[in-house]
Amino acid sequence: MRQSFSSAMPETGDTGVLTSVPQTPVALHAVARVYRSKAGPVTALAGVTASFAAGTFTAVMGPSGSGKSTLLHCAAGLDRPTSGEVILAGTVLRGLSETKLTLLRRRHVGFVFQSFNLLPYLTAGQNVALPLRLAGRRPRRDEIGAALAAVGLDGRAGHRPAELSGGQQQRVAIARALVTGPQVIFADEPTGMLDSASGHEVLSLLRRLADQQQATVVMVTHDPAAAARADRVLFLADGRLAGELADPDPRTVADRLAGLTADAGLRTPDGPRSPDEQPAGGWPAQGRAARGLAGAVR
Amino acid sequence: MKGLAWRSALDRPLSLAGSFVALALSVGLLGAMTLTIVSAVSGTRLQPHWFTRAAVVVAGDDTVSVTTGTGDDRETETVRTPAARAVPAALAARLASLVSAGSGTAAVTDYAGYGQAAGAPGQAIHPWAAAGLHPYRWVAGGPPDGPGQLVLTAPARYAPGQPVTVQTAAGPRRFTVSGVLATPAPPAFYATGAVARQLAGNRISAVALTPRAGQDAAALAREARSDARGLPVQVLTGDRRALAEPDPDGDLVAVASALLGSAAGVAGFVSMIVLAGTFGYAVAARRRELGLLRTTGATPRQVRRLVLGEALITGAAGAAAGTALGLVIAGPFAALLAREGFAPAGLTIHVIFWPLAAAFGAGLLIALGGALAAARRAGRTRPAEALREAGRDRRVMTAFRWAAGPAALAGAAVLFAVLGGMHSADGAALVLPIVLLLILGAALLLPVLIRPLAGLVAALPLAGSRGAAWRLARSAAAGSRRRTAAVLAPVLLTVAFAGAMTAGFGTFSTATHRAAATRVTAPYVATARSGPGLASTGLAGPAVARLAAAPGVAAAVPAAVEPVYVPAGGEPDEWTGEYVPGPQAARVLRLPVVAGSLADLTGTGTVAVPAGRWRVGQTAQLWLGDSAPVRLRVVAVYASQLDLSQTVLLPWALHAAHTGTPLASAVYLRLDPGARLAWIRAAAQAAGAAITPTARYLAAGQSENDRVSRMAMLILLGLALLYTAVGIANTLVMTIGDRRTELAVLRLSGATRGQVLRMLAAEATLTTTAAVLLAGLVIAATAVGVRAGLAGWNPAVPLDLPWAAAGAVAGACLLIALTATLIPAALALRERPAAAAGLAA
Repeated sequence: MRQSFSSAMPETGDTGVLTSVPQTPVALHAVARVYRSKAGPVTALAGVTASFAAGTFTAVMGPSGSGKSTLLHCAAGLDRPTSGEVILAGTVLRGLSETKLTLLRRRHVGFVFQSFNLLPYLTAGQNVALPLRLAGRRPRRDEIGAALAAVGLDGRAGHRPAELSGGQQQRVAIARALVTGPQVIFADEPTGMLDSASGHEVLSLLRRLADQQQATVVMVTHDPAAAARADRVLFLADGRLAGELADPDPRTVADRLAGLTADAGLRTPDGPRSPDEQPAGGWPAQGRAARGLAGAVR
Repeated sequence: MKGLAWRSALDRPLSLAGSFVALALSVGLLGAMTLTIVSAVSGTRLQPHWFTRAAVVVAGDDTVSVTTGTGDDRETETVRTPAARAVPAALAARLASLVSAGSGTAAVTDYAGYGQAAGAPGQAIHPWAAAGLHPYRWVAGGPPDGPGQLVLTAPARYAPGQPVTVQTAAGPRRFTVSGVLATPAPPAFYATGAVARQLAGNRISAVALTPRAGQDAAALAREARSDARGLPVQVLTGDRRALAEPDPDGDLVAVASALLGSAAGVAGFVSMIVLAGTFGYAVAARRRELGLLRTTGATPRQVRRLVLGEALITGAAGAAAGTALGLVIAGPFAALLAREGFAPAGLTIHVIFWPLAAAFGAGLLIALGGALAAARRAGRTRPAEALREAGRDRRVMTAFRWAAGPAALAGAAVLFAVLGGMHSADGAALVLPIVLLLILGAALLLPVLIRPLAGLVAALPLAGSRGAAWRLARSAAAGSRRRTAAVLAPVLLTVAFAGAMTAGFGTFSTATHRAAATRVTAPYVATARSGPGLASTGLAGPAVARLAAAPGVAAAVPAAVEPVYVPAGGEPDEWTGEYVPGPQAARVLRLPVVAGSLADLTGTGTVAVPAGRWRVGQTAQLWLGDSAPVRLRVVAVYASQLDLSQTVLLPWALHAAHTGTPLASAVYLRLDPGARLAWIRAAAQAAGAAITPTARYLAAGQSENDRVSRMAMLILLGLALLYTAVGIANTLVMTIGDRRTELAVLRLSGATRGQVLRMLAAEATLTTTAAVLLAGLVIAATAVGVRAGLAGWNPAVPLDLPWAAAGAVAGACLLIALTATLIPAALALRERPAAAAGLAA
């Protein structure tokens, strides 16, 4: 893992605005995100303050529409908050151009989605090498091999995603997220599409990263068993922090979650809370419809 | 990024196939056109055929030049006239003396009086001595030995000793065939020198000189030049001798080049729009993938380069295929043009490298140009936005579209005003830019117009329009505006282009001909009867006199049309000169004279002009059709209307001295009251003429003019339709792939396969109809605008809406859209819906 901050003191740029705060992997301060939509402004995040220390594994949970994914996106620099400050890898994100944000992410952040993580026309090895190539580097063969071996997939470098199972695809995605040796790893429901054995392996990998590599791991999940593998669980409801639980176990986590869900149901009996939840003007979103139907079928 | 671009492109061959085909077609057409033009131009290499045995040829001038500026800024614009001036007789005598001292036939004075006969080729009567200027051999008989004898050129239907009637400038003349010869030179008739001179009206067309023994051609040429100094002649040697020979194909090459040039321009424009649409849709459909790249660490610039890289790959592949295609179709293409009379017959294609390279390069530029906007949009993909599942697309109407759309429409409005203010037939050149601007504006504003258009069409009373299929179709079309716009644009483009161009040019053409029709008050027109093997050229003087003397004819007014050249803006502008006898003209013509009187158009020093440039009494300086400069006194001024704005009237007596074919192309007849048409017809028959009612005569002239424009229009339409087919098919095939899930969800919700197909058909129909409606607006705007622009200063401008053309094209587009929708859909629907919806266990 690379250390990249040059000094331990906060720095300000030419205009006196804070630009870097070393030794802070991820921190959010009063971050809010409001979307414009046809039905009026939608508040996904309503002022969240949190910080994540190095070498920790944090789970973020909450009912549907609580803003978990939005929190992750803002923290990772994938989305710009409407107000508030985000510090990522010791750098203040406000005012950075798209290109600078991208460069920062490339060096310090790994991101794993729930699905559609890999480019279908590249082999597993080429997918893993992608961040390095984008940075203009030619990766060494053993570098890729080591990355794949770390997720238990050595020997699969030449396979296309279509030839791998869902769990294997997810592991390739994790290998890609880790190949640059990032300080911070964000994972958005990484085990949602996996069977329990694969999910278990992925969580163990994340756990190892936090413990042995001092990475900062932030994971969004809805599965209490997965959340229990983390050091602490942050609960979100209606775009705000609604509690924290240290040293979680599955039963307690499930109870807290159920309580939050019930409360949310009482407060707003209907009405969407984020653009993802809005009914699209034409057709329902493809994956969403499929998931809904899948739920009914299963 | 290159490797990524390669793999990404290869992964989606189907979606790039449409762009590939469109580009290959464009480049193929561009290559074929360029090769044809270059071959035609280079094929007109100068080479004498008639004067091959004479080293030096002295012929009359046939160029008109205007020089502007002084010193270093001097600029001269030169135009070649179709006819040449006569060589002065005194000069001919002097030139003969240069070579005649003693040895042989070294100087030939050539005449080329008008002559035509059925069954024998040739358009002119030359003196027998001219046969010595080029190789020949006898097929039958021998040279003429008397004034009544004539030599023909093979293949001729006469044998020596038979009589032949030749139409000449002095009327029909009977000869006896003395011989038939075969020659590689252009075919002609040969009579004795005296007869040839008389039938040519003493007009010397050229003097051909062969050097004496011991005299070389260059020295001879120098002497000839010094003798000819100050006279309107040109002294030609070597290949330039061909300039003294008639060049029937010269015009054609210019016409073909102009036509193909515009076709190439339209092809490039349309294909760039089609490609922009397909690339834009492809980028929008790949939002997730591009977002993934962004989260993985691709900067906006890298994403832009990826899209451009893919475009370049598609472009290179398409351009390469297109170049090969161009080579293949260039031959048949040139043959088609030659058959329709747009290119010289016997045009062969030379395979030259640079036109093909240019076409290839153009293909690359088109691909990149079409992809620019899409690449920019791709670079702006926000990682977070792309991770969202939303099925709606946002912000299709960018600020650019809001600004550029109305700007394009405003530009068209400005051009309409300019067209109206021009008061000249040159305004027709503005129709193409106007149409393109209107289409551009409509295409840019498409997304905004989709919802109201969809609503409008769906509100039409159609069978089953309350059914589920129709309502779903309407929501789908209105909900995914980018996709709908990508299908609408090619249809709009084609139907609007076809209809608006037809409307615009058609209005100009019809207005011009209606205006011309109001000029002629004579009820009948006599023209030369064209028999088998005889091209109709005109009536000679004796024939006109016979018509005038016929019982029942009150007036027979001859008229001839030749080009004249007027200095305008530093270059000689080609106008039309109509020769008529002034005093009689008023009996058969009605011109909007605003000053002076047509009756004063007599002698050889007068002219009548359109308003705006000269006033009555002033002297007009211009050049006649044989490049002779004249200074004429303006005796009448008429209103400058569409058919008159670039026409001058010249006195009839001026005609014969300045042309090799002093014939009347039409004779306007005014009849006595109570005259019997049968008498007139009989007299005309005897004079070798045919009588036509004026209306029919003018209509025939209009349809011949229109044939050229119609052919040009067909070529452009064919092009546009071809691209539309590719554009529509490509978009629909791409979108079906993306909508598989959507359709599967429909089926899981309870729709049968048939219902899904009906919904898709309804959507295709809805979209195409909406596009046709929008195109109809563009067409109507063009027709109304052009009409308004012309009506202020012309009589009788009709509102010309091209129902047939637009309807046919619209029908074709609907057919293409339905086919391109239903076939891939039927194929896609064969999958089990659960699998398609991504629910594989």
